[in-house]
Amino acid sequence: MFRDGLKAMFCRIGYNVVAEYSDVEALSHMFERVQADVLIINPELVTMPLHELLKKLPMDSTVPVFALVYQYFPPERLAVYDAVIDCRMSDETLGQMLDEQLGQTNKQKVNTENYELTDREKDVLILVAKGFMSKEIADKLNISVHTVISHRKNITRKTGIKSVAGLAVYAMLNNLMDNNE
Amino acid sequence: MYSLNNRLIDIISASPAVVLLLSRFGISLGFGNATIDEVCHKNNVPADLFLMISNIYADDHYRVSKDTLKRVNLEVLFCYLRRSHDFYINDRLPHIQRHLDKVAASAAEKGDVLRKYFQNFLQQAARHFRAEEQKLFPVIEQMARGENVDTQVIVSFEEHHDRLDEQLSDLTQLVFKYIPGVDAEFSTEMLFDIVVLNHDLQKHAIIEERVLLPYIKMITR
Ligand SMILES: [Fe+2]
Ligand SMILES: [Fe+2]
Repeated sequence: MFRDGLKAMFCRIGYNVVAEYSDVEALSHMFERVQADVLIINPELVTMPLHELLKKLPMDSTVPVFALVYQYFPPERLAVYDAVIDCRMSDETLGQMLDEQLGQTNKQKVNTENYELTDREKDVLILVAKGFMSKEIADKLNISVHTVISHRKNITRKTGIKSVAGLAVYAMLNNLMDNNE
Repeated sequence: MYSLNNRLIDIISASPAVVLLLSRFGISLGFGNATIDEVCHKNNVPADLFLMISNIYADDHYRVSKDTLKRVNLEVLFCYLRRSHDFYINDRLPHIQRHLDKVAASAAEKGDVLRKYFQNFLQQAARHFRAEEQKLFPVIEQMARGENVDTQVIVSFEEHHDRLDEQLSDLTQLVFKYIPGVDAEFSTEMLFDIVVLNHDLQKHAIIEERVLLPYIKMITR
């Protein structure tokens, strides 16, 4: 009942509830499929220490964890949470708090998104630019084809360039190719 | 999804790219409020085929039905595809190349790399279209007549139909992100022309992959 109320409240202030779960197992599966900006937990239902619970979840450690309290709860046990939502909070207070907390983490995310190619990705890029197939690259670098393909995906995501011809020009413009080749 | 009873002007207003189809089908302007069916009749164009391609251009989620596939007029479809190739090779790509030449002139020694990239792309595009016109289309025509053919051409088309649009959008990425100091005005003009051409090329590829290939499967069954 409280959950529905909370959901409606989130909706009113422009946030989306991506999923709701009542046990850790299901929650852990959820994190494999959707990206959440915040995790809200009722501390009364958490039977183990919070850090142990979080270890069980395949979740980005930058995702903040909020406690949802319905009644008095010992403050020392709430200290481990990033923020506390009180069920009596107004829309406005909740909205402000979310904007504050999530605005910060979103900013961090943008800044830490790294578009620099790693050394390994540069090795792969050079071989792609020279016209080698993924299988050949895997043999040359002693890695699996699967790994080569995932490097190629990252190279394309970071550079914005999809075609082999385009990647060859990128490598040239960035002085990754020897001039005699 | 549009039907034969929609006015031609309505589909064009909603999806301006549909005007590209008119000259390829030999439809003249000044069609007033005529429906797609009426315009096609007047210009001697198979209305089903014109409608199918209009829907492919107008609606990203449009799926070609079996019924539509059965009524495809192969001769007119090949004529349409050939005229599209001519338009890309003789009109759009030289136009983009003129923009690129100005961009390259402003890019100092990096300009040569861009010119060479585009030259290679032009050759590859010409090869792509030539292979379709001289090998793929004739083989499909023979199959449609019930003749026995070597299906290798079709297998290799199915396995590697090049995405020409990728190399064009890569060109815009290279110019905008990796060549500092390049002329902004010419680069922008080139970008807009590439965006429009890429949309056209993607739809063209959809016709080949989602109409021609299923058509072949249908007639060989
Ligand atoms: Fe084609
Ligand atoms: Fe093609």
